[in-house]
Amino acid sequence: MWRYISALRSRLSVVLLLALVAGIMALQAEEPQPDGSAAPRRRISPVNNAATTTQHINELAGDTAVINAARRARSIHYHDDNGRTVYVDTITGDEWIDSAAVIPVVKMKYPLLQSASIGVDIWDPVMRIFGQKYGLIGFQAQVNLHNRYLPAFEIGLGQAKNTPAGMNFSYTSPVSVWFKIGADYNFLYNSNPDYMLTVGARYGFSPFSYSLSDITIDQGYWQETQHPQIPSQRVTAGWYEISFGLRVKLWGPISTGWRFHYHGILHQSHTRYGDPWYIPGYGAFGRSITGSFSITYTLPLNFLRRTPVVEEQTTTEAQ
Amino acid sequence: MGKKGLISASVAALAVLLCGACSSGGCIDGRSGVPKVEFRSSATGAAIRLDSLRISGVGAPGDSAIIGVATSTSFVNLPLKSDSHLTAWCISYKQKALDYPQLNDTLTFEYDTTPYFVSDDCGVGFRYYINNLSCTRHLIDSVELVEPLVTTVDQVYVALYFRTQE
Repeated sequence: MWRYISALRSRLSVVLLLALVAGIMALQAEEPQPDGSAAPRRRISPVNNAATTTQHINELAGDTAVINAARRARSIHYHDDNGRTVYVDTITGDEWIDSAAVIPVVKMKYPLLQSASIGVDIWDPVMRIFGQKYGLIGFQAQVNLHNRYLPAFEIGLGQAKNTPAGMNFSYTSPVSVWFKIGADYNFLYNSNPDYMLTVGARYGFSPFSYSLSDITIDQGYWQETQHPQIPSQRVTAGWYEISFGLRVKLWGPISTGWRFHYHGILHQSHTRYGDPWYIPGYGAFGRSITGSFSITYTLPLNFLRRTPVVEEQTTTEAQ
Repeated sequence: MGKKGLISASVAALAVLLCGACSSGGCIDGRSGVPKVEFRSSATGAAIRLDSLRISGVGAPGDSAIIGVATSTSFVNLPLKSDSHLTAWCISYKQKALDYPQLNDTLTFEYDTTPYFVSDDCGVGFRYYINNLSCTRHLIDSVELVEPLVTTVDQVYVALYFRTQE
């Protein structure tokens, strides 16, 4: 019996020794391979502990939305005179406004009736000095609303007399009136009103007449020369105008500015003798870009306001 | 934007405006309308090229030809008289077997003339409105008025159909 137990112990020792050798070999197999490739590893399931369970809370601790959500949960709210929702923290008693819930409205720094202005367009008179054969003068009246929107009405006179060198006609358009109505938008509306950067649109209209004289037409093959006349034609024309401009204060209420226009004909009456070369207020037919240069007198409308404008403090800031 | 920026922008814009105010260049389409007459086959209706033709205006100074015998063409531009409401053209066939005066054809236009202001680059020319078109029918089969209002637009206004061998 004792001998049997002793033999069993020696066999167990051998088995344990073999197991130990196998274990050491298995550990050696975990080492990086000579070729640099990683040995296969067992996947280990993540372990939840106190740190991991609070990790997302810690990461969002500085998030304003989370903070405000938490504050809303422990607050009551009411609506003030401006319709804003004001929260009252029931713990601290603080009143606060959720900035995420407020739609930011760009406030108007200047009053509705900021100023009115009248101007004279001297572009055509100046260009006529330099040889332009058409145009007379234009006047503009404009109201400045919030220093941002500027409805405008323009009226002017146009005239043309042109005998191009080397051509076979004289074009005449007597003095005619033209009108434009539209508005400008000032991009610098919250800046100093002495400087304006505007984009605008106009609809223009003019009833006018034109005639052609001193016409000479040679018909080469038949060797004949004709001198027909195109009598006065009464027509109307309407056009659109997209403008871009600047206005700068010169001195006191006087400012100057230019605008350049991209324009096109919307409607016009056609005659059997052809379309007019010049349209008062529009310019020469077929030219899509023109300009204006104005001297403007600005009249402040402060006296219409009952109380002085006080700049309001912003109320949209998050507490 | 500061004052200097606005002034700089103003100067640049004025320069652009001054350039933009310059005239566009050139008269491309011409001054007066001239009817373009296309030669077509009466059998197929397709445009054909003809040679050995001589076309001259009836009453033209010096009986000058608008196209000569050596020309081979599928169309001809026939200017109209502006001091009259009627212009006639004589078409002579100069091929050996056809060169006989009695085979000549005459194409006659009846029209109204209007002075027309084309543009400041082209000036004033004439437009014509063809009221009637007629021709003799020796070798011409028929004539078609494609577009009665003759302007400076380059298009076929009249089609002349000739009898051609199949």
